[in-house]
Amino acid sequence: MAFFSASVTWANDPVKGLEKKVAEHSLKNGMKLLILERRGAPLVSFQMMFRAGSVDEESGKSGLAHLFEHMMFKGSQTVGTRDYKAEAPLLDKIDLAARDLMDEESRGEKADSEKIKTLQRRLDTLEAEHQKLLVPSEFEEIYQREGAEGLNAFTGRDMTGFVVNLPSNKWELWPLLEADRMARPVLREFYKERDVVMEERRMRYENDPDGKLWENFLALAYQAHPYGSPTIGWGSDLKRLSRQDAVKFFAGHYAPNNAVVAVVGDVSAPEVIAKCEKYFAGVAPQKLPARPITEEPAQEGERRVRALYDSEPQLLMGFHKPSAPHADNFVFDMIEQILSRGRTSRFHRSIEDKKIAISAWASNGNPGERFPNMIVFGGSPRKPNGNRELETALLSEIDRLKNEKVPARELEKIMNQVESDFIRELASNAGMASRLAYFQAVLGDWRYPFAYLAGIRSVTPEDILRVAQKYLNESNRTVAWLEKPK
Amino acid sequence: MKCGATVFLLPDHELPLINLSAMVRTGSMFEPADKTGLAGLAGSLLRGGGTLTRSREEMDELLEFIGASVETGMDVESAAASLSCLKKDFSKTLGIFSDVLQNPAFSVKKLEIEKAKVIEAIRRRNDEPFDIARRQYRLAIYGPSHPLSRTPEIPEIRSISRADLAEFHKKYYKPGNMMIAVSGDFESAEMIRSLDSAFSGWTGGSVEFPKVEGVNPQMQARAGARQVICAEKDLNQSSLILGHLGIKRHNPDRFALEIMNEILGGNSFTSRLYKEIRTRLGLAYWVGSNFSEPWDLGTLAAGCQTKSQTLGKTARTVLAEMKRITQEEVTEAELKFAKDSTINSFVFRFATPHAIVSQKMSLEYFGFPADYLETYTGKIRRVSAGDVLAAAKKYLHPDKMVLVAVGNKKDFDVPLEEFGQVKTADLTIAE
Repeated sequence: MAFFSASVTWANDPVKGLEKKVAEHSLKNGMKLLILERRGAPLVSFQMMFRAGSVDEESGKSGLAHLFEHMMFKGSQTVGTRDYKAEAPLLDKIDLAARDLMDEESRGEKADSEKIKTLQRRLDTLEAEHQKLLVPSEFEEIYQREGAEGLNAFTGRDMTGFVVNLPSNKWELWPLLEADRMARPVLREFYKERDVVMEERRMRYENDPDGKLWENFLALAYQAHPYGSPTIGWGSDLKRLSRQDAVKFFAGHYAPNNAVVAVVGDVSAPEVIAKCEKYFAGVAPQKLPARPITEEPAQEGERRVRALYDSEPQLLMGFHKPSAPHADNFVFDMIEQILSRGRTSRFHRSIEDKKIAISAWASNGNPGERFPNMIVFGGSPRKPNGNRELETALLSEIDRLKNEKVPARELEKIMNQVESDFIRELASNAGMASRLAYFQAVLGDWRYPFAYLAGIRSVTPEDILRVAQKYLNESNRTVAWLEKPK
Repeated sequence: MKCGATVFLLPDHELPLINLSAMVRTGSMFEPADKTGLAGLAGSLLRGGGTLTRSREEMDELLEFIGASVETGMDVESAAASLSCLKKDFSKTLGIFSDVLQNPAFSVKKLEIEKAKVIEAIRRRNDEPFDIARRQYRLAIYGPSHPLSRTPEIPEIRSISRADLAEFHKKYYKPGNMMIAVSGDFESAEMIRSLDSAFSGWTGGSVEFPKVEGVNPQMQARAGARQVICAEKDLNQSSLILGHLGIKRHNPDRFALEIMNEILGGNSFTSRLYKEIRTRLGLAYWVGSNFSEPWDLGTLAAGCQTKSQTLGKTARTVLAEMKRITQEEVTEAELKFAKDSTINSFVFRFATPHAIVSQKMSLEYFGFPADYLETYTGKIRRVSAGDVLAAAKKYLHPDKMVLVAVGNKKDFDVPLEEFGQVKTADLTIAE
């Protein structure tokens, strides 16, 4: 494979060398380990990814995958508790109290407000009693006391990831804590955490112009496939989620045979493998659900929405297309770069420099990559231009792709940029770990980024014409405008 | 360097890359208050406006074709310039970098494009609620013209000319007023030669810095009672900031204050505010506290976002936690955890060669003693519960804070008057 052009002079190709250094190992329970030893600073990054995201939720349970990710920080039968045995019956009582409250609340206008108050008090009392048995934030404290940095987690449409960076002399904390929470998680403080997620929803989507537009856009673009449903969850679904829902989600998705772990940094691969076999030995594999996911039918005409919010205008415009590793996806990656990468990009020169917008961008691969996805264009117009003028300007650049061959030098430029990006990304342990885990979990192929440059190099000007003509059409288009209410 | 700039080098041969960062002693603090936004424009147009011999388009083509970057920018207390490229392209990229610093053209056409962008960004500054809160908070603390609070307005931006930018550049961008940090695949002696040659002929060093407005003592006196600022916006979640003036850089109490802040709200998962407001009460997704240490007095503040119906409850809880830390010693367990986590994660400051070398430069730029990093963990280790209490008593005054709330006032659970005298923020944007 030709990763680099002939002009490259260094003797040891750092990319090929690195790919060979990745140790791949499956534990007996099916958990996949990808380990890359890197000397340098005495640090190590861990990235654990489950192939379970919001697309795996059942209808009416939107937000569950993400809420579950929060619950993974609540500890286990040993972490986060003073006395798990005393806690267990109380957790059941809290569930019952929460269920009664939800049932009454769901009667909507017919609900009895006095009854709601009484039920809320009962739940508050039980939760207060439960508090006495807890050690809050103990899971995080154990990591942080030893110097952990960047402890975090994130949920997407396709997957859920858990990350942490440790001083390398403390690396063994990782299998110890992670095996414990994977084997025996306790979903304590569920209903309070649900409130926290509702605040997160308000912060990121209901009171944020970008989030509001994005949610409206995807809900319109996907009418059948769950990519249209927000990962944070719809408000009414969130309100109805219960701890039992979360337990059920855990059983079907958080199995070692549904997980990939990437470890990058100053560690020894054989040692990591041996210790992981030991710590994760008690975590049994599970049968994964083979639930069919509704397919998005071909779009049969343009869709438009004008969402209202108290902010200056912006817009999104997307087209359905196949996702990676389909050959056309490389063409879309190339289109994204031609249109919006850097100051020489077409959007920058013809839209931003002409003062039509303060930003105009293209982004391929939204909102996930396990299923057919979209290329999305967006931006914020500059007064006196509005969304209409920006949309016209974006479309005129898209039309150029359909009508004129992209000059070879423009493609060569993108290839050079992708190549130097790749080398820069190698510098970060966390960045490497994230790519290895992501591509293995989502595409089933951690080597994808190593083969990526070859894929990008194979794109021809004719491919771009063909792909633009095939997909970037009005009937396959979804447009969302954000505008101020009148 | 021969031209007078100070250089920090750290060769690292793992990848065929070179990264360079530079700091120039200037910043938006030195721009005239009636030309707010000038420094920022100069910072971005240094690179964005081309040079006397290369148009911006030419530079863009050349750099992007080889996947390299040269960027410039402006901060309050410093100006930044950076370069990143593959080793094989270093000499070409360095040529552009040094040209940008020495001979910017500040093309009028590019200035107009950039001004149009800044003006549009001003029009959009009330779009995100927390941004409104931050701006109103700084305004209440520092007044309208202090460098830490002033914001560009559309008429001022319109009045900025190419001559203003050129004058700003001429005054501050001198080799003797600059530091450079380089990491990557090079040999030190050769790097020094390359830098010397790229900047040969560039001279000058002494800069006369204008007097900068200090925080108005009257503003501090006014903070004798709580001030409440309410910015109305039709939202279902409110943004809240509570805080007041804090300390300057190099204050010896900062280590005790760092530990205090860590326990109060600095740590993102384990602080008191996190455990109380997020975990126990479920009132917010994001809650935290911080303190800043600029050249003038910084601020100590806590913030969060909570639904309108729990704004008052949340503000009361934040104030109660602040009060508690000024009245009782933190527990030994809290103290030990805060110190251990700070000391054990210290190594992450040295995660990459470029982080090491640019940190070294930045510490020198801001006048930290040469042994700052070597003695840092020892100073943290020596902080006692008594020190934390003393620092809290000295620097944290929950009864004299500014409280900023952005949101739908009619839905708040508690009238804001409970917290102090309420002033409604004027969010009008002058065209």
